Amino acid sequence: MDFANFLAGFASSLTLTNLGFGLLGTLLGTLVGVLPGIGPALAISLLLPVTFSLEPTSALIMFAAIYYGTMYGGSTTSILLNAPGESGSMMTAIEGNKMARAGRAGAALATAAIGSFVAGAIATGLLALGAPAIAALGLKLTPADFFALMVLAFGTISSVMGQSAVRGLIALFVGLGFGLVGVDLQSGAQRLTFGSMNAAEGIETVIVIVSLFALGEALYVAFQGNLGNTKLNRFKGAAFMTKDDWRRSWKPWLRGTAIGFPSGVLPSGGSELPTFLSYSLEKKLSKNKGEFGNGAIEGVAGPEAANNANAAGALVPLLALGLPTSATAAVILSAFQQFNIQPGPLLFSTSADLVWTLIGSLFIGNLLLLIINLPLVKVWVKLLEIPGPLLYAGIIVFAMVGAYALNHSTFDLGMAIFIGLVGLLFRRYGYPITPLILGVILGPQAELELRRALQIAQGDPATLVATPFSVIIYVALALALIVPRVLKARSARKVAA
Amino acid sequence: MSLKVSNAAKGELVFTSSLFLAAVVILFDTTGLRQAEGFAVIGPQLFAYIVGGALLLLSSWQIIQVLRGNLGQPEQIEGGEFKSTPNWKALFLVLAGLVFYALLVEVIGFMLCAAVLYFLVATALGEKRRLRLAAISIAIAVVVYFGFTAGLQISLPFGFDFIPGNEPVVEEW
Repeated sequence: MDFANFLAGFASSLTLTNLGFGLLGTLLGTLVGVLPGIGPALAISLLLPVTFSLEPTSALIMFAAIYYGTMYGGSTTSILLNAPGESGSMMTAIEGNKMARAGRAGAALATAAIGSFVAGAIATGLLALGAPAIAALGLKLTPADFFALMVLAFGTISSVMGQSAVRGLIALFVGLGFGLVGVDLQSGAQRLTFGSMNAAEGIETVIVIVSLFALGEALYVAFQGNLGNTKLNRFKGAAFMTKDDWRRSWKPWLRGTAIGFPSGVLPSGGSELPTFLSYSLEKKLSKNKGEFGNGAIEGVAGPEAANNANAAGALVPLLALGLPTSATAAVILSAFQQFNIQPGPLLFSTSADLVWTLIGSLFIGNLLLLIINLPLVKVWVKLLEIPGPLLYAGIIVFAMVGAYALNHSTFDLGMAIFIGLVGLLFRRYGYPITPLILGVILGPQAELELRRALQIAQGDPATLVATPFSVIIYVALALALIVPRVLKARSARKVAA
Repeated sequence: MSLKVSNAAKGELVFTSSLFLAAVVILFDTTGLRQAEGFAVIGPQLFAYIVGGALLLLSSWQIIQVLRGNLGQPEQIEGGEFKSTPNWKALFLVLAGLVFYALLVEVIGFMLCAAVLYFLVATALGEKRRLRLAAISIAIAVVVYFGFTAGLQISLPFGFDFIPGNEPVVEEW
């Protein structure tokens, strides 16, 4: 790690302006993350328009804070509301809910918040150590290697999530199809524009994300949902842990971090797997197994730490290689691109100050979250009492503001409605959204690398597997498709036993 | 495959077939691309063919699965529950709000459109107290408008440019 740069980044993230944006980001992030139905990816894309008029550095600091903030907010929702939406919070919800019903909501919230802080701090430290090294390695990679990495991300995310690998892959290729629309920058050819001037500019990724998540969800809920029948768990007193809670929590935090971080760095398909692994590990190691399923604090502490460490881990390939490994990371990538910043190996040399300020801000945002969240829990709980219809209507209005403010174009609004309907259909028929998002955002880059690689080799496809690195990646992809299935089947058997 | 096919199965079959159709459109569009004049070995066609071809194969496979009765499980709803009977009226209300906004935001301005959109979406999702909702809708539209234009310096249309003497003085870009 470049220690001087690290300190400089820390210093610049501590200026009053940047600290202000960090604080604003943590508040907005938690606020939006607490709202049911809004995961981190949607939260960030909804808040994207708020940063349109900011300086890139300030905007990125705000994103970092929003990113961590939504994670915190999500755990509050899953503990207090018996309806986990975001996959990473599913495991937290199992024990967290039971604890809340037994009147231990305060301890569950506290172990989630402190565990997230611990995991976030350690994982951000590992990020600061690891990302520059990986970026240095990234400089040596060929276009064919990058293409292999992207295929790896596509493959893992499409097959790990969702009900079947075919559904995931269809979602991916629909996303890649959306990515084709517009003028091909290298040849000037118009693809899938059907003569429309507006379509020639391509489909804005922000529009795709906001429409799929916000419009798609609202349309789906209107069409087939029934709001308002959920029970809110009572929460009295303060988010507080007893000595015994501490004793039982600290090891799961560390173990969760150890599982979460590497699984975030590697494209393992998001936070579903690490939180699941952490939960089963804690269950296995626990001395009072009978408590699991009835509100065991370890079952909240471990998965929450794993979830947060996973989120920080996902920033490593994103910053160092420009490779998103989750929907949320993909959204952050498109947020970077909004400001003409291209994450990747060059980022650490061309915009070193920016990267290190961002990393510094992650540390500070993480601390701010701990400070503001424990006392503010009661305010966030109030948010859960907003009636669903009013909440969804607000999300829609905000989404449509963003969709319009981007280019001041009504064509974008029409496109948003169309993609919203696609989102409705995907939800109704059990297709995962994440591979689609990844396809839209990463597709054009994957095509670029593929064409570069083939161009250099005069069109010889053997070039795609010509380097040891690319071979390793394709082997890793094959393993990544097989190993999680085996592990999951095994742990599922153990959970059942 | 049973003779009596449920509505959900029919719906999924139509949806999966439209994915197949999308693949055909991608492939057809790609065959019509003008070949760049030899300066590049790899043109814009290759990737489009891969995408179209893969989608064609995968959606064909999935159509067979649907015909065999392997239907997709609808996603869970956070903060609510799934209803198996679709509510077409609610869907149309939300869509009407969105289309109204898209068509008229530059004509009658953001505030009116956003208020109507908010009102329609909340009504569709089950809000009953209309009068209170109307007040909330207007309040939200006004707060968002001024929050963005005055607070964040992001311009949103005020509308009514067609009235003489009401043209915007400076169009912000």
